[in-house]
Amino acid sequence: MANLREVLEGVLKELKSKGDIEAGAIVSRDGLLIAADISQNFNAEAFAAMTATMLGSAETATSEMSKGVPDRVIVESNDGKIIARGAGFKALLVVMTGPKANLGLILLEMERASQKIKELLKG
Amino acid sequence: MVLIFAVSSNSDPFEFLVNNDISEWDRQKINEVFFEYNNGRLEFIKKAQVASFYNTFLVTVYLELTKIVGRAGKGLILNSARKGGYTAGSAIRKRYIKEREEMDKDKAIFIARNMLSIWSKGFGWGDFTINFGEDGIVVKITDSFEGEGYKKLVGEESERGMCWMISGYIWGLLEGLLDVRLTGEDKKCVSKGDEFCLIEFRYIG
Repeated sequence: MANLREVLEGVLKELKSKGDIEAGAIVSRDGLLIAADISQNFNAEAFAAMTATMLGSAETATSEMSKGVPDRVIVESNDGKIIARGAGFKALLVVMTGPKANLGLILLEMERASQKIKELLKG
Repeated sequence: MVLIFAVSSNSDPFEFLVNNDISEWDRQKINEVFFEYNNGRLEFIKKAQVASFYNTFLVTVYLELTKIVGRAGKGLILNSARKGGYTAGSAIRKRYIKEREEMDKDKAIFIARNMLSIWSKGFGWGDFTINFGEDGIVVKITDSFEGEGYKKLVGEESERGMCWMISGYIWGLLEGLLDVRLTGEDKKCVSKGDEFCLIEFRYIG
């Protein structure tokens, strides 16, 4: 029987198959890596801490400005996008895409995957 | 049998670290071997300048960081400390291999225990007990510098463990010394109202 980490990696693999997604990670709200489908060339732990910081800082900023909690953070560059969103109270879902990725499709699939992750992590 | 330690300024602390079981040494002996004070400069193993500060200081930094980046502040500190611990652990491993032979698991565990004795009695980060098992490693910390600092500063129980620096450092140190990858989780923390702090590391792969 697959352990939780393997099940979560399966969610990431399935998500990756849906669009121009190059890498994905499930990260605790504390910025620690839970599961990843990412090239060995990247430091997955550092990526986890950085992306949790991105979303955490965005939450602080919107909260300070009385604009509520952000649904997601999207960082765009010439070579691609990094998208981070909540996946329940305990975790975040983060993906890296190519430059021409279909953003609408990816956001939709991320929402579905986030729901699964939330259920798997029970929160 | 009585062992007499003659420590001269030329003694290499590295030799003591890898050869002597220092877990039963007292603070004075650890200071004599591993620390040197010169005109306001305190050096550890003749290389790193070190200093002490209040136990509330680090926690103040953590809480201020959390105000800006949210809960992710923990991951930032922990990952940075893990990197520092890894650098120390792998440097010890590399030097040992270069000057002697391949470092087996028993020797790596022996050195890890010695390092934690230094962090306990030399640096005063708490009293460490470390257990190596088949699946992983469990570290128990009594009187944790960070956990007690949180209690003193905030006066209320934290909803999560606050021993970020020491957890990360030990995590990386063990990975560097044992040449393995580990997952880590703080299971208990005095900052949460537990009697002691408990960190569990599990081998990956």
